[in-house]
Amino acid sequence: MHILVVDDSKVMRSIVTRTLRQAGFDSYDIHEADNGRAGLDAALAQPPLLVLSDWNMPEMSGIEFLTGLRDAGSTVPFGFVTSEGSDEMRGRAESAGASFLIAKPFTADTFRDALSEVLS
Amino acid sequence: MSQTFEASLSGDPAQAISPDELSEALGEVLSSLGLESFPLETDTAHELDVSGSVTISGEWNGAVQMELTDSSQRGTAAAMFMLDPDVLSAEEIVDAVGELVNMVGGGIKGMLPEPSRLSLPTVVQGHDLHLSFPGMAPVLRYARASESGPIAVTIWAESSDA
Repeated sequence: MHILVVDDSKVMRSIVTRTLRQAGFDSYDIHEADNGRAGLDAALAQPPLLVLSDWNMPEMSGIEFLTGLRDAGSTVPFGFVTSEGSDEMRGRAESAGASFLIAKPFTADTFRDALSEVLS
Repeated sequence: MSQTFEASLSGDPAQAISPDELSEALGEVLSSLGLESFPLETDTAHELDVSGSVTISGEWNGAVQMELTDSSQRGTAAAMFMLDPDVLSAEEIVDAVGELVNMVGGGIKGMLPEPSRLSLPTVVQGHDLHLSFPGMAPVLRYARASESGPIAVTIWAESSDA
């Protein structure tokens, strides 16, 4: 099983992957996509155990990606890892079907707290 | 001077960001990336080689600009990738600077009146850069020193005087 990491920044995909390892989630394969549209295609073609996605991306935003997934009937757990964590965005994320929103900067503990229930 | 502009952001005055808050926001992001930094007592003029920015539009309108030297952009990117600076490509360094300004801009956006929208980052490289944002004026600036050199952040606000 794999976790799909979606972010238009290569360095952030690297940091998210590193933080997953540090948080103890090192038994999962990591697949990557660099925008929401590529993430949507990848998640529908080969459903992951969990999606970790940025919000603000070219081509297709994270919230559009999540909406596309749910419209296609996918119930894959979905969490945002984004630089913004306002109440408004958390509300939009939850309404669209996200399990959590992690605001940058984050730590391995943040990942452990947010992901443990989803990956248990 | 660590504060070179008046902290008089437009919008709700109660939401104004203090120099200490700006320093904390920048220091927190740098620390999370494994970069030790400390406040610069004197924000002297540096030959800045890279500038990254994001704009904020909505209830509050402005921009967050970060400036780095060639050395500090390489050091920052190396810390973020956890790689030797010499093996990083120019594209990877630009990517890292863009993500840095995205993180700092997102944190600053959270201190300003909502709702607003954060743009995708823009990164400009050159020698001794002096950028301006039409229709905006700089209202707050803060710089920190890292192992590899200075890193400065400036908040620009929409202004009828600009």
